[in-house]
Amino acid sequence: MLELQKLKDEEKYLFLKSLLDKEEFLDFIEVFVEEDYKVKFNPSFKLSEFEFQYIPMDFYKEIYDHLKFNELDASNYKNWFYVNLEAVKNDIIKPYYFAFSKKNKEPLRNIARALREYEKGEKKFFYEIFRAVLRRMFGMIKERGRKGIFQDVPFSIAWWKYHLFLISLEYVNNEKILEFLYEKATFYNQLVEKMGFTLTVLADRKLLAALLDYAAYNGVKKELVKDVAMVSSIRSFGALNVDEIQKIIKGL
Amino acid sequence: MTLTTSAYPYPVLEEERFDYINSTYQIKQIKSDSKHIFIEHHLVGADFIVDLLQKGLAKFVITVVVKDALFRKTYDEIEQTISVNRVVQKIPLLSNEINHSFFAHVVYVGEDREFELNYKNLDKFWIGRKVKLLKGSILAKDGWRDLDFGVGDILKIIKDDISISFDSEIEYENGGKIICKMNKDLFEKVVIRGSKDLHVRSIISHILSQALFKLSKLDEIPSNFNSIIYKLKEEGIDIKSDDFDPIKASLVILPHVLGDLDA
Repeated sequence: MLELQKLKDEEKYLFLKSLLDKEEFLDFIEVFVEEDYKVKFNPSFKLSEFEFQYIPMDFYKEIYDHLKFNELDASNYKNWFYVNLEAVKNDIIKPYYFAFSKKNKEPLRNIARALREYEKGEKKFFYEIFRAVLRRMFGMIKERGRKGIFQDVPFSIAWWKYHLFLISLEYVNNEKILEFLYEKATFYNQLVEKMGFTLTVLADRKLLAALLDYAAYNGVKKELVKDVAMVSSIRSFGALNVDEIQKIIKGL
Repeated sequence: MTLTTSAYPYPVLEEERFDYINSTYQIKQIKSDSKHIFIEHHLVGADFIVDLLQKGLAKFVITVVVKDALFRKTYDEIEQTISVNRVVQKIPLLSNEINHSFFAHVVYVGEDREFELNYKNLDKFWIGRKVKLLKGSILAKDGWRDLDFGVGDILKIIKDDISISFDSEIEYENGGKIICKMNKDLFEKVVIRGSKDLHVRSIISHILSQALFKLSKLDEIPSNFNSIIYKLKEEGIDIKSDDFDPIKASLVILPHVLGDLDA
């Protein structure tokens, strides 16, 4: 599916157009699908286009339980491509739902405008919406790298938020953490980016639990993560228990 | 806070620090299977740390990170104790197809308290001083390392119908790999001549050069390339610098890649 990025402009046009019709979309996408893919996704709910953009927290558990992914599965862009494909096949979502960006949240209008502008020879918005669609489908486009897998694919975001919540439950009994992760999109985006890319100490399970527990009650202090990073240079958080880590966090 | 890694309030044993004399902390990957690696810690000298280990106030630990899966965990279980200063840990792998980084260290596990330092392996700066150790304080450390999967694993050459000699792309899956599509005639020559042939070496060098150039333009470098980046840094080559020379860099990593080349 990474090859989708290399489509010629006229193919991109046909691809965006195909989003308006389920069967056309499935026909178009078929060539990018491995025959033996194993992901199955057919949960009990169906999503509206706006629910897909910010999947309600009530569905997180079902998504998580239904997929039975581990961390490696959930960090593989291919799996999210197939989750989305299955979601379209099973009418959980409609293919045009993918066509939204941070600034332009109305997918049908976005597709219509992109196609119209392309026909006039204007390609800026056309490219923007094309990239947005790939970001929602599997995340890892050239411009985003691997972080797109965790930050751009709605089903993946739901899975990872619930996963972080479950990790924290192993160490602290705080149901508010899920609500906190659900509501604080910016915090979540920064957290996963640091966990996987710039400050991996935050991926330490005990530190993560202590941090989320603290943040769910007290909010996020601007300097907290930076201070945690400094402490981690001389103290091994992995060798401490959660109570001891919480004591350190409270003292920062 | 003003702490930095070069300003510990107590002595730390690590390469290029001088808190200890006649002391080393070395680790080595002694074996591996598809699900585990075995890592030996060996502390020599460092009588203060050895004293803490003997009293049960310090322990050897390994932190494992799989960046691609947002995974980090610290393991303290000891598989084999050779002596108080030499132990083996058995570390589980998430998968043997993805890059793991690990960080070995010795950590203080007693309650927060003060110690007076009178140990012969300490630099004279520390002798007679009182220092406070906090639970979790890192006493000795090795740098971050990648598992020894070898840099040769990062290049795959595929026979193709392309009209040009070859074309390389960076594949992101499973931590990243260079996928080189090679013209079928050239491919056969490469296979027949083998990797010891000078012409083949030159071709591989060009492939690497092209791939390294593409790699240098990526915002996020896939984690399987960490060992290459490390080797290049050892040679003073920064892949992200403005004057990065992919041809020179390809010559540096060529011997490592040829070791495992499987066309």
